[in-house]
Amino acid sequence: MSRAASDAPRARSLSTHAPLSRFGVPLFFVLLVTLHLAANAWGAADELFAPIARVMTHPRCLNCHTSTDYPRQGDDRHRHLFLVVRGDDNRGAPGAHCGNCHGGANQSASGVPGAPGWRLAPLDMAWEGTPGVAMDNAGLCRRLLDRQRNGGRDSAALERHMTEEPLVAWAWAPGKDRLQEGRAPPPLSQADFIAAFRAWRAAGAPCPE
Amino acid sequence: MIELIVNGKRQRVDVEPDTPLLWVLREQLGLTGTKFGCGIAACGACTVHFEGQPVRSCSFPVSAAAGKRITTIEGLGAGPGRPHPLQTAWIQVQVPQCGYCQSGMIMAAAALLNETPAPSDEQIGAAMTNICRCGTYARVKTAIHEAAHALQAGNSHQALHSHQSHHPDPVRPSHHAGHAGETGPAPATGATALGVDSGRRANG
Repeated sequence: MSRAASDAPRARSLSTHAPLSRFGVPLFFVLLVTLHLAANAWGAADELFAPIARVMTHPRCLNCHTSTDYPRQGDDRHRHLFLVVRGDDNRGAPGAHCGNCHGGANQSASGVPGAPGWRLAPLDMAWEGTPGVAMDNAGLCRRLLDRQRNGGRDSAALERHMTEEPLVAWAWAPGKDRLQEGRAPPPLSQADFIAAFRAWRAAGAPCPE
Repeated sequence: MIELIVNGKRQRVDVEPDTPLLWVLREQLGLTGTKFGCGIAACGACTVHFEGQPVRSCSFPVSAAAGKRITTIEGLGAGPGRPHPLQTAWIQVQVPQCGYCQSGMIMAAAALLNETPAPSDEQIGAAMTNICRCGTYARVKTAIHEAAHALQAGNSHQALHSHQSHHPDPVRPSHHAGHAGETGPAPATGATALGVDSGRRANG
């Protein structure tokens, strides 16, 4: 077979795809830019939400945002002693309410922690994917923003919850335990957490993918 | 100076505001039916009622009780010789062994019956987080059922009324219930552990 004969199909092919090569290159770059922007947005969401998630998944927060019918205790997140249960109103069982032991402030003599309105978060607001295991950041973010499950809070109301709720604030003043050893606060200071939350909200409260 | 209303009687005590209520009851007011057990709100031996709700008095600052109604085991019944139905059931069922935890148990049980007059076994299990080293739990459960039946049958209507109202006149001239015969911090047994002024005594 001559060389001219063998090149003929290739030439036809190039001729057939000429429009694609004319539009394909710009299309490719548009796609590239779009992907790049999307990646940046996802990256920004990751970056913005990560410090918030670090606080939310800390035992001081997660121990009462459980997916179980009982609270947890301690940095090892063991089940609350005495088989304490959630109860219908998230404040314990009749005769054994949270407030029976947990008063309005930490008790230095006994090491019992306390803050106004001590209670579990409702099951709808659980931040555990499976019992004892925190959700990943994407799931946590979606759960936080889900108004069907977050008490109907928009992002402004969420910010108020994070900045004004005494139980949230308690996480940064958790007092000492029965051995007079200080409980660990979340990894960010309260001020840094609030700043991170506001920055995330200002960016439109994006969720990681 | 902090003012409390303990078993219907106004009391003024001069203590540090963060003093646990338990020690005010025991040492300032001499109400030693309420026991010190663990000191960390774990065992429940120190349970008293604060405005009708059970609290662990070892970790309850007296300042939080200022002006509020406190009921101890000594004030649970309707008066001398008129025990609360739970105290009666406790003796009938012979619940206590050493008796140390029992006043706290009864106070916790009384709070449960206030909210849940006919509790199931499961509800009793959820409510009674008190610890008993003698392992009287089964008899505790039986006695709570007995008391619930008695209350529901109206056999102890007057005692129930007194229990639920928690002394409607908070400023009574005298301390009506006394110390039920117990004067010291040593573990009480039988009826004295229950704060019952009665000729009948439980084992021990």
